Amino acid sequence: MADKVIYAMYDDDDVLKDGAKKLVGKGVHVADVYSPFPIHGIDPIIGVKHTRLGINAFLYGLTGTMLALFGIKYFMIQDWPMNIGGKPSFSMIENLPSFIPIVFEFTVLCAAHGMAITYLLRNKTLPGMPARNPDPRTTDDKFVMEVRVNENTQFSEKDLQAMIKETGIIEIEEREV
Amino acid sequence: MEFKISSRAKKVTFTLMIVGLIAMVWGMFTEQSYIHTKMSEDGTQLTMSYPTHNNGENTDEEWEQFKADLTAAALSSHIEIIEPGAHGHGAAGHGEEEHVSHDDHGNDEGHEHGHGDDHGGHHGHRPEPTWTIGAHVIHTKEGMKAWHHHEDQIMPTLKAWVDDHKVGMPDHQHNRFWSNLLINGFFFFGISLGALFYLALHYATESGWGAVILRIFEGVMLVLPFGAVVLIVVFLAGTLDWNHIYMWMDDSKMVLGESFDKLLYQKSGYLNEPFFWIRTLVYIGVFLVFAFFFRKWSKREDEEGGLKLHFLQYRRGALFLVFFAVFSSMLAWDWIMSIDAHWFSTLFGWYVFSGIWISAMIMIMMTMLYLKSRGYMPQINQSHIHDVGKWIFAISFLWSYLWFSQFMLIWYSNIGEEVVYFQQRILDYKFLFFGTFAINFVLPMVLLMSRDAKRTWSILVVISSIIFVGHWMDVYLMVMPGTIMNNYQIGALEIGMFLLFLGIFIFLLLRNLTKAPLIKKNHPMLDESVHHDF
Repeated sequence: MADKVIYAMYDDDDVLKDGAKKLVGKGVHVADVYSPFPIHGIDPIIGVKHTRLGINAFLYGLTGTMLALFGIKYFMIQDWPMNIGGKPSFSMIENLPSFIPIVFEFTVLCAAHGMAITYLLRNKTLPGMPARNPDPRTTDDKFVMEVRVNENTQFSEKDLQAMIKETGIIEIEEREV
Repeated sequence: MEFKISSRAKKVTFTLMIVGLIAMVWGMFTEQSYIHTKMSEDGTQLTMSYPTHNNGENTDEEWEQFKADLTAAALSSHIEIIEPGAHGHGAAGHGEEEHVSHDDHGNDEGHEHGHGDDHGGHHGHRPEPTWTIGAHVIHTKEGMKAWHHHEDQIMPTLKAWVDDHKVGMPDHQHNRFWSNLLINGFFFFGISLGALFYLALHYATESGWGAVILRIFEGVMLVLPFGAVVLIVVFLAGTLDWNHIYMWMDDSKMVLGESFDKLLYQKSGYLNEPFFWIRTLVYIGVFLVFAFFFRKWSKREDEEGGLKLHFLQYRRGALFLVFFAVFSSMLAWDWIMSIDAHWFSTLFGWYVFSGIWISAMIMIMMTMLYLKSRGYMPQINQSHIHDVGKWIFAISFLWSYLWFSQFMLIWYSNIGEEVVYFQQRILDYKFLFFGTFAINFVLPMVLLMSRDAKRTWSILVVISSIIFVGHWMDVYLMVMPGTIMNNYQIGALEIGMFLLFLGIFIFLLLRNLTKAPLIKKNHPMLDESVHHDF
């Protein structure tokens, strides 16, 4: 279904924040905000859910820990038992302290890479993918607020535009997507 | 807003103090002398010896009483103690002890150390009382029933009674008492010192977020004299030979003779009493002067305002960090590491410092939550609490990292003179040693990791309380193995003294908070801090 999207452009992040507060106060649902830098405090205003990237990071880290432990157990204890630190015990648990640094590094490696790749995939910003921001100026010094018409069916399109225009915008544009 | 100590808070702190004091005094009467136990290889004979040159104040009557007590205790469990060839074995036992005290320093250091206090000059002349026993079950109905199929457990049971102080001799030297005084004095001194450090760090980095809670830092910091006095009492008692915490304070180790200690002699350029006292007084003096002036400037800032005092504290904060960087390591060497004077570790100072820091952050977190729950300081919002929670989380990692770095490198290289420190802790304190590490590391890591947890008061209070005790236990494990070896207990004395100190500390902290407004009036970043939000 074709949807109409209103893009309102601001040249100051504080004006945008105040505008978003007013609109949300009236019951408008703001879909997204494009900005050259993170605007502190905008998330709770427009109702962006907390990122779950942290949970992902934990799971990737756990995967890394497990992989490293199983790997080391196979390499150093089972397949080719090693005499570690002059203690030929050939036991995983007794040699564990010497494996901790590697396990730790591998945990960090998995968590960091997993997180980065997830982030790029989820935001659809893998290298070579087309940019999704509505206006290239949002990577410079302008801020754009995105309001979807069919998410705000309680207002007519005209009312919506009028309300947005009151919030100190510098440009407004409506597009079909 | 002015803070007043509520009558309930007064009641709670005084109850802590009184209960602690009673338990502590009661615990002092349960202190027992160290009795060395050794099982024969076939497990049929147990040799007990009482090293007279360790704490030579027990009389022969007490030794005989101990023997009678053990015999009576055995009888009530249907065991009869026999002394196989009392005379011949006594001589053999004596020879064995000779061997022990001439052991090399590398592997028997803790042993050597605990015994290393000459007392009254009868060292080497009076033979160590030694008692070798065997035992068998009394052939009555009850006896046969109680020990049926468990005959091999008889000797280990007897050994455990002596090791676990079910039967023993009173300790007139109060070794446990003095060790506990050092533990608690250092732990609570460290909390104040950590707050002072963080206050200086806050100024030196020109941080804004914490401006509303700086008075809490000041309150904790100003309890510094309390810990300092306790530490000085312990050191003074050591210097006067009232306690034997520091083996290097023993003069007889410095002159050629039976108890000459070459390692300590070579270290005596640094580890000698005059220089130790100069260093101690300089550390404490510098800390107290900085704490005094930070408080003075902070109060004056309330009246005058302006940036002049702020930038003065900024510069002095940076200066303090320079002193602290050196002193925090050195005081750990002098006060804690020199208990095991034969041993050394280069990162010991940072390890101790991280423990100090986290204890301070926990104390600050608890004070914040307490004040806020009583309706004070409405300016503190969830973001401030979240930030202090982050510190607790982060420093837990720092502490664990340093603990593990120290342990792993020494464990891996396995050099006798280094590994002895951990050998002692693993042989005698295994459960406490690894348990403390596991709790202090895993608990905050798993439960404080998520953002929501750091904003949930109940989780913060529970975890902070547990790792607060955990870090007390960490100090306990730094001190006890070096001072009373495997003769340790966690009983009324330990718990009582901890509660006593906690009560005094909290009371002094609350009293400090009453002496100035809870929020600084003219801190230039106050507004930023009030609106701190993320």
